[in-house]
Amino acid sequence: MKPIHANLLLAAAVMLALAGCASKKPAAGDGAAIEERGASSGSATDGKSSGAGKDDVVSRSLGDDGDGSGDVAGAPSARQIFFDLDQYTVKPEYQGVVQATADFLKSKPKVRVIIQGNTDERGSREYNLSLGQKRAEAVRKALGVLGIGEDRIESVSFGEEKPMSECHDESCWAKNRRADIVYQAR
Amino acid sequence: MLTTLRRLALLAGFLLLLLLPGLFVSAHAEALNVEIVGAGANQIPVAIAPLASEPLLPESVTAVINADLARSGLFRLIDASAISPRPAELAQLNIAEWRGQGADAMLIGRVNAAANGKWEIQVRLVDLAGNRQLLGQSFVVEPRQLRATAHRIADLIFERLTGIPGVFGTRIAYITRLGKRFELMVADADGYNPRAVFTSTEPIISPRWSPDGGRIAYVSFERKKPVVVVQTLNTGDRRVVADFKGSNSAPAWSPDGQRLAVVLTRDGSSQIHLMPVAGGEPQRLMKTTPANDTEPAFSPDGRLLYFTSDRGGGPQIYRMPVAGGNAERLTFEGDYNVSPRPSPDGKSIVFVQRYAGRFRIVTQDLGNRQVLPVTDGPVDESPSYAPNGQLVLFSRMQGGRGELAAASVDGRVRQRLTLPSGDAREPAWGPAGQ
Repeated sequence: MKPIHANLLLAAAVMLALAGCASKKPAAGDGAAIEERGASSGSATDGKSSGAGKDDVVSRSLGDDGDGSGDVAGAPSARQIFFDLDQYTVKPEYQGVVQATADFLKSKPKVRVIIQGNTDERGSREYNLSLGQKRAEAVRKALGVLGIGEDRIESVSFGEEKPMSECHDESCWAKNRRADIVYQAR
Repeated sequence: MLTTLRRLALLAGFLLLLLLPGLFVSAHAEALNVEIVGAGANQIPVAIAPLASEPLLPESVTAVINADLARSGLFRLIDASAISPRPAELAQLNIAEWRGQGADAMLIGRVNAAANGKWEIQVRLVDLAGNRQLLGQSFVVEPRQLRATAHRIADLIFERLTGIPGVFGTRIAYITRLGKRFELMVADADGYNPRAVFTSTEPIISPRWSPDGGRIAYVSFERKKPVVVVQTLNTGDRRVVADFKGSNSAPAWSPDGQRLAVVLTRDGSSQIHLMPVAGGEPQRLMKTTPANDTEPAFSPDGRLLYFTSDRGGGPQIYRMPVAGGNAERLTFEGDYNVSPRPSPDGKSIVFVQRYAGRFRIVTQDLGNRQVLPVTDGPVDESPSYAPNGQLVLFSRMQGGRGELAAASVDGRVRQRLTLPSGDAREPAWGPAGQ
């Protein structure tokens, strides 16, 4: 049978209409009793508390194609900090990136940065979101040590949702365990 | 004791009521392929007789009932399509003949034209061994309600013969991704009527049904960071309920539908907060911990929150009173236990465990604390219970793509659902009685 789009609201509506009957006991025993079950058109379309009585409406986000990077003239080009497996500290080799970021922010008081933390794809999406946040926070704290105030930095996480590289082995995973620095002109 | 019920006792593990003969990804997209692994060795033999005057209907009700019961894996359908004349009353049924065909129970009934273009569907479920009616009901419905009425009847049959409520009439939500296109999908539990209710060029994760089934909370990256959105299904109305500094994620509904638990990072680490669904200032649940706490889920009685925390090093599952108090660690096996969801009866949790390098779905009995595997991985995620607690819906990686699957809680019967292209992930089973 071909699925029919409009069936959703009908199906949902009748479920709503019938839902109130769910707790009633069906006619029992040897009798040939038939319970009357009305599904009034009113209850089939008002949809209120179940929210399923009307057609579900599609919402749409058009998103924002720019990633915000490169918008600030003169900003340092090194904007990525990579992390080891299960590690959430900024390695010494990236101290130069942090220093350059801090220096630029000090020279441009109206510029702020978003630090976007990322993880590889293994494990729970929500738990990875919290791990990406740890990476972003590590960079935020490193900038804080260099005198950049919290009001100029927002650390957020993309978890495993925005991989730089999409495959399923360590060569990709290493690229995806990172924090990106995104400059924003205020 | 009924023959059917006695047989049923043998089947206690074989509950596969779902699902999804063809889970369509969007209104125009291709069907998922369904592969069933395992089946009940002892299925209840049932005959579904076509209803008297059923050809008058625009679509067959008994065909849907047959399909629901067959897919469950719990029933053996005895073909009664050629029965003539079609019995509508117990007295008209040749019980000996159908017992001879091996049926334990049989559905009979009739269709009558009712006022205002509606139809009356009368059904009776007969215990052939006991020569008695188990169920007799009449539904007066509009033509467009026939399919849902069929699911309702299948649920009643299921409950009558197994003692467990059916889930044929429920819905599921999940996320699909094709390239840069992400869609929040809602479909009937049998895979029909799939609808994209939100489409975005940015990722969507963590859909969670409101207890009444009317709204879905989820995490959207549409603001270049994760924010928590509550969307009302029948209007399409979307409200960003959590967009605080940092990341906002992991929504969970309180059972009364009044509050959300969400994870915010405005204090630095990931922390569980409670907030009114209508909006308002979130209250941090735990003041002292600097660890990461996430993936909250309310117990069915609303008193406890289950969650994942790395306070002990790696991620483990804990619970604590919503009103405040000490967190109790629940998982000790292995170094990676995440994504807890309590069962509808509150007696177990289902979660993801990394075991020998594989991510598998397991359950833990909250009484004796025993952990039992539902799946063996290697990359299984996002488990959620069916409203009757007998099945677990989850996602798995296969050939680098995500697909949905369902398993009986004992893991003996499994269905996997593969998309021809793109992938499906983050499934959530909707509530009963929508």
